[in-house]
Amino acid sequence: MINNHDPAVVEVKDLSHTYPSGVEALKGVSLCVQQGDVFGIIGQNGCGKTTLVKHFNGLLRPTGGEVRVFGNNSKEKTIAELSADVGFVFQNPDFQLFLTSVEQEINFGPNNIRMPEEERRQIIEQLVSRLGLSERMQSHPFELTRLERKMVSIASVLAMKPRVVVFDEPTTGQDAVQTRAIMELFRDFSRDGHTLIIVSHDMSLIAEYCNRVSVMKGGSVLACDTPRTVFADRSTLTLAGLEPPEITQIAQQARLDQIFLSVSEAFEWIIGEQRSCGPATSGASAADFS
Amino acid sequence: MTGLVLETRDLRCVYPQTDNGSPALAGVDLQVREGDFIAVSGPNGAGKSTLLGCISGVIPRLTPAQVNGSTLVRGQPIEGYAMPDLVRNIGVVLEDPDAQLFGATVRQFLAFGLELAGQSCEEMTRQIGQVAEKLGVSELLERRCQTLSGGEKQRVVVASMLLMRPSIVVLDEPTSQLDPRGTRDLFATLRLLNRELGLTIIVSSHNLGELAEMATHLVVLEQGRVKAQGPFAEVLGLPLQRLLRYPQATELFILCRDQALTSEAVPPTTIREGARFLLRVSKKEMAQS
Repeated sequence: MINNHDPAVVEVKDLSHTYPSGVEALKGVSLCVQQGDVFGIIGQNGCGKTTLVKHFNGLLRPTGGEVRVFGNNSKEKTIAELSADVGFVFQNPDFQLFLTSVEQEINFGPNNIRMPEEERRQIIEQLVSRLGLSERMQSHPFELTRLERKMVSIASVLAMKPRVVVFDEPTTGQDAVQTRAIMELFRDFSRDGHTLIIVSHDMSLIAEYCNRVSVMKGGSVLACDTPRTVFADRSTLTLAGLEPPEITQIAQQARLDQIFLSVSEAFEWIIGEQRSCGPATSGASAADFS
Repeated sequence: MTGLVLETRDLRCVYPQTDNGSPALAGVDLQVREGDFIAVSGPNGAGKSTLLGCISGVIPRLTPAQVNGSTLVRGQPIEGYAMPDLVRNIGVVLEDPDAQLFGATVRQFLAFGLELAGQSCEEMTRQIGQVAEKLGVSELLERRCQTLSGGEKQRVVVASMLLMRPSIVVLDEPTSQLDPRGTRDLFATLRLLNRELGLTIIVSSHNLGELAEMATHLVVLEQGRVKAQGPFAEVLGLPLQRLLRYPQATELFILCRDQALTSEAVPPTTIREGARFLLRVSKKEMAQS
């Protein structure tokens, strides 16, 4: 459901994209991302997710339909103009690292947009510590592990404080602790009014952190709604070749009539049940489990 | 010992650029037997990629590093192998598919190694068709490599490696850009190759849950050393191996247990309710096995 109070940040209307090779990657996609959204895009490999988000900063131009970014038609803006508003963290960090130290890499963007010294120092300090890069500032990006390079690419984009940030698979290759650190950072950014668009295969991550989710299949959007609605709709997910997060599935299998989006939600629910039922009658739900 | 196809003895590796000179590998003894399917696991920075690089010859041939100790491939020191002989023995899939992908179209990329090996056109077409089908990339053959998505690239690189028919296959995080279904399919293909052709497989992955069903052995690295190695179930303990497939249910149980034990606000019966989630999935598992 679209909340009409928050201004539209990215509006996509009937967008099509056919590559010069003839591959029709997008077939009439419409959606609207609003300010402060953490907007998830899910779908199998090759369904058009990356093609779609590349339109948001002009890396690709529509071959049909239109994309509006903060009300402006993307066709009328240069990549430079669009990227001032829309930052992009690629799947592969090596596509965006090019300087000789981590420090230079992270400072490059803020310097380029002439961010005031104090503001720059603050944001970089915060990013570097939260992404675990404090001791790597003088290293050459190619001395780093792939994961560290990913962290540098995230820091270098967030350092410019773009109003919209697009992440293509922000957490592949990370372990659970690092994934959480990255997602908590994103969540704080969205609370400050930034808009995040996340393309990911990790359903538990999308369910836990996004407020809206778009399901893609074969270049089209099958559904666009809150994660609670999207992950309750097994038939649409199956059509898209996807499965809800494990915790959601377990609750569904137990016929709990609850859509859990995260482990902590399931935990809160259990505690609530325990308090209301008391230990003596732990109720029908428990019977369903045994 | 019979059937030992790959072995490392006190393998140590330091990258020249490391500021503090701390080793990426600090004495690894690894034994791989013919037909093993070995999962290499451990936190980021544990040395997984370095170990895989050393045993496939990528380190130090392509990535410079100070390597000490020994790596034996079929009983012979790895450094004694000429590159073409090594490639016939060990196939490699690096973590970053772009580091391996070249050529204009997928078909041209896949044909490269076969052409060098002097195969006829018909034979190349047949083999490429076969492997492409197995890995679900048949429809990509005429695409330009640079237009592929990350997951498609990973599958194409695995296909090119298999075309060389190595007897040992080393894959570094081969599913990092694949969706869950693609991940399952790739691991299932590997298992098939392992069981039907006796291919020896060594794969690093964060996705231990998926690998638990496929791999025969597990090596856990930590800070450049082997923390544990052996048959998968033995290393993890059997119940944990089952539960690894359900990380969220496991996390929920641990949360329920810890909170109930430490917080008065949480009723003690919470532990039992958390356990029911866990039991539900483990029962389902046992019913299936």
